[in-house]
Amino acid sequence: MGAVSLGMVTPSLAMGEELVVPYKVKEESITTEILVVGGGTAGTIAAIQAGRAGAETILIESGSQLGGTTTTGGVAFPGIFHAWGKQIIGGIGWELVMDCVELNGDKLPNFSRIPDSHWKHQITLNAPLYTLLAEEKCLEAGVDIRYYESPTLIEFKKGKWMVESVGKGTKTTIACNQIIDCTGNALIASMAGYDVLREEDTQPGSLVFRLGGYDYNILDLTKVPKEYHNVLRQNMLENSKRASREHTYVPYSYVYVPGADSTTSATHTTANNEGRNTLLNLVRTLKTFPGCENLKLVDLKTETAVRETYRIDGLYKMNKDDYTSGKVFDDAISHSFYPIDLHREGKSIYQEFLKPDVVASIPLRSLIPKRSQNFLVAGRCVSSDRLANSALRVQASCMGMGQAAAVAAVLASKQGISPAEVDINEVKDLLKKHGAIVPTQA
Amino acid sequence: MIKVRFFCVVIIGLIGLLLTSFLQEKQSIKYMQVATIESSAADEPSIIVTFKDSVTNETIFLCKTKDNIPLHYFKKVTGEVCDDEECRLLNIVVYWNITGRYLGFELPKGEFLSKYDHDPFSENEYQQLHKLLADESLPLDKVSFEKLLEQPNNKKEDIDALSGATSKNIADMVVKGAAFTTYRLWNTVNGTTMDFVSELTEKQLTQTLLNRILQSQDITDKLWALHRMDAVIGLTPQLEAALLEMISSDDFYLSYSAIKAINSIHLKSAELQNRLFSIYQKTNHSIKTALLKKLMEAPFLSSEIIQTSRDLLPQLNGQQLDDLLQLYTKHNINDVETYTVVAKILENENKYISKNAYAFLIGLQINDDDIIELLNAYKKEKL
Ligand SMILES: Cc1cc2nc3c(=O)[nH]c(=O)nc-3n(C[C@H](O)[C@H](O)[C@H](O)COP(=O)(O)OP(=O)(O)OC[C@H]3O[C@@H](n4cnc5c(N)ncnc54)[C@H](O)[C@@H]3O)c2cc1C
Repeated sequence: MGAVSLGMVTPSLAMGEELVVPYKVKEESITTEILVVGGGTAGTIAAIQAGRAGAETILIESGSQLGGTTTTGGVAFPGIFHAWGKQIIGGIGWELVMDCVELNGDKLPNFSRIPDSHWKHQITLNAPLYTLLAEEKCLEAGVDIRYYESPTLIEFKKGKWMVESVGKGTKTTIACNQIIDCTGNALIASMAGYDVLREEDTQPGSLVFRLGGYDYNILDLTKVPKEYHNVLRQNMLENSKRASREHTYVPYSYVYVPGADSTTSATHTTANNEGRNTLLNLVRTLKTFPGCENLKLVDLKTETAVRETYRIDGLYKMNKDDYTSGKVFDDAISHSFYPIDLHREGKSIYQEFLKPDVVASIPLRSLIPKRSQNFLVAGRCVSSDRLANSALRVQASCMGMGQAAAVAAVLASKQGISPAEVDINEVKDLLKKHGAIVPTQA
Repeated sequence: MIKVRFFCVVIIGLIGLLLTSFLQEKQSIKYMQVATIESSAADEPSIIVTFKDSVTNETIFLCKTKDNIPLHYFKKVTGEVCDDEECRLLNIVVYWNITGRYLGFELPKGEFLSKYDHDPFSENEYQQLHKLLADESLPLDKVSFEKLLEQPNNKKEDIDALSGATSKNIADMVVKGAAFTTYRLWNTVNGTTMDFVSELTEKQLTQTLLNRILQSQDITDKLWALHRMDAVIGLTPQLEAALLEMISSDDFYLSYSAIKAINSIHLKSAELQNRLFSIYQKTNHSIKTALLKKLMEAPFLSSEIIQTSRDLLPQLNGQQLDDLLQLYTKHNINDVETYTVVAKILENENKYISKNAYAFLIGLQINDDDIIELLNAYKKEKL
């Protein structure tokens, strides 16, 4: 009887197999000094900096690797670290970029020469290598990385943040002194109850891919509708390498994803669905053109990269004039250099270039939400108007912000105060000590 | 009397004016950029040597001084250029610097360039052509002339981040009415001959010539020389001085390239190592990292650096400490003074810093009881 009834409730086990007790979500409570949420362009640097400054640091990343838009989104050409013949952003971001360039045997663009197009000073990276190095540097700095997790609850209690973070089969309550929101979307700031702003119409996202299997130079373009010329040409750039010259191109084809929003799993799923669907249709259409019969999708980035979602309403909101005039704030903690660069409805780009010798700066106040406690942001959700944001969002600037936010958070944590109360000179000194370039008044 | 004198001055002036405009007319049309080696009296060109371009099979001329210093290369470009089935003869000499950088062009006496309507080029158009030819970043080599003409006007969608071939409107890349002339000349100047002449110079490189190129006013020439420093063995005092000056410059890329130009053979010199390390103490963070990486390539580490750097250890940030300790490890630096200073760092309350010290000391496998005790205590309390 026993044997028979046992057989009825227990699945038959093959040799070597064993039955596992039903999984119960693992719940635990842990503490840390600094919690960085989002291990993207800014968050990776913030976490490394916090760890190196000697603070216990946890980094929560909802994806499976570090780098965010730089790696997972496929925008593997950070800019801009140099302006007008000088380095303007250095520190940990630059160190990571250089380690990647050198390990991959790449060459740097000629920064001594002022380029005819700003993007020529961006640095092409081997994105997979970048993720490896970023992770190594985090671990060396003692950062506790938690992949596949996302905060679900956040509360400020008795001078500490209590953050509930849920991942695959885990639910963790993290008590921390300071939070740095590097999600790109100011999601944690919003969950904490701080105001966030968004444009009615946001710039489109892009799904980045690469095509192969055709030769642009022998295509008969008269047989290809005009609207497809760009995508076919853009994709061929890699072929035009010449050893004697500097080369900063990477193949970079993309389809626009209108309204793409990465703030929640639901909105990011929609953005991915739409981008992939557009791309699939594009591939099918391109293959019908003469000369493109063997066209292939050679590479596709993991997710739709998102340009614009929410920004915090910070203690200072940077505006376009601050940016283009190169205003150096008393509490400037990083430079930023890029043209104003707004993708309008996916149809055109509004660009405004900085005048010679002008370099913008970012005040610490723009990283601190109004009425906040023990809270900072870094990255594209910096407090700024839309046009200033279109330039501030670039990767070197995000890295500069990440490093600065971490330094402010660490000092605030050690002193038991909010980042806005930290003596700005201490922030600047510690930043310099860690190799960052701090803007100075002329 | 005054009137007569005034009259004479006016007449002489007029004659002078006529004479110069006559002479000017007789002069050929010539546009030149700053040369890599500006010819001084001592460098008057005196020898012309010819080469066969291995790719185009055309003759390339090299102009040298009597001391064998190459000054520039040139090539005669002749043939028909046709736009819209209208053809004109092209007869022009193009010049390259010895680094392959475009130097200029010259038309034989009486020759001029004309557009498709046979209008001669204006002064502005010559200037524009000269500027376009000097811009090697133009994407004119990436597409055939026919494809180029088919390109739509500059569309802003193309410019996001990286685009290359599409980021410029064709109208900005050619002299109006002389698209094919510009295209052909640009591809001549920026085509394979550019690399061919650069390689020819490379084969002639000596320490003196490298030093001359490093003195060029043009940054790309300096960089050209820095990227070819391996062509000569050893550094003369002049070359070393030039390199150190560039490393100290606040132009990151120049400084970085000058550091890269130093190789392990150069680093056999303890004096050079010491000079590099004295720059380390003054320079910015990015260059500091590059300098330490370079010293990793040295066959040994100078005793002066070991001593001086030891004093810096307690002040460094964690990453710099790690870089320096890695340098010590690479060069087997395990003397008592050094490890005693490093052992002090175990007390640093910043774990990232103290961990670096711990890893270094463990790697040394020291037989010193005091240190072993410190390491054990550290392991117990902090790891
Ligand atoms: C198509 C495109 C082209 C661009 N071109 C350039 C260019 O040429 N040069 C340039 O410098 N910049 C460019 N940019 C801008 C730049 O890449 C981004 O603005 C920048 O990388 C944003 O950095 P970030 O750290 O703010 O956000 P991200 O890099 O996006 O990082 C956010 C991270 O947070 C994680 N995350 C999000 N939500 C959560 C959550 N709830 N919990 C846990 N983790 C979370 C994400 O997974 C991600 O890793 C471009 C951007 C796009 C989209």
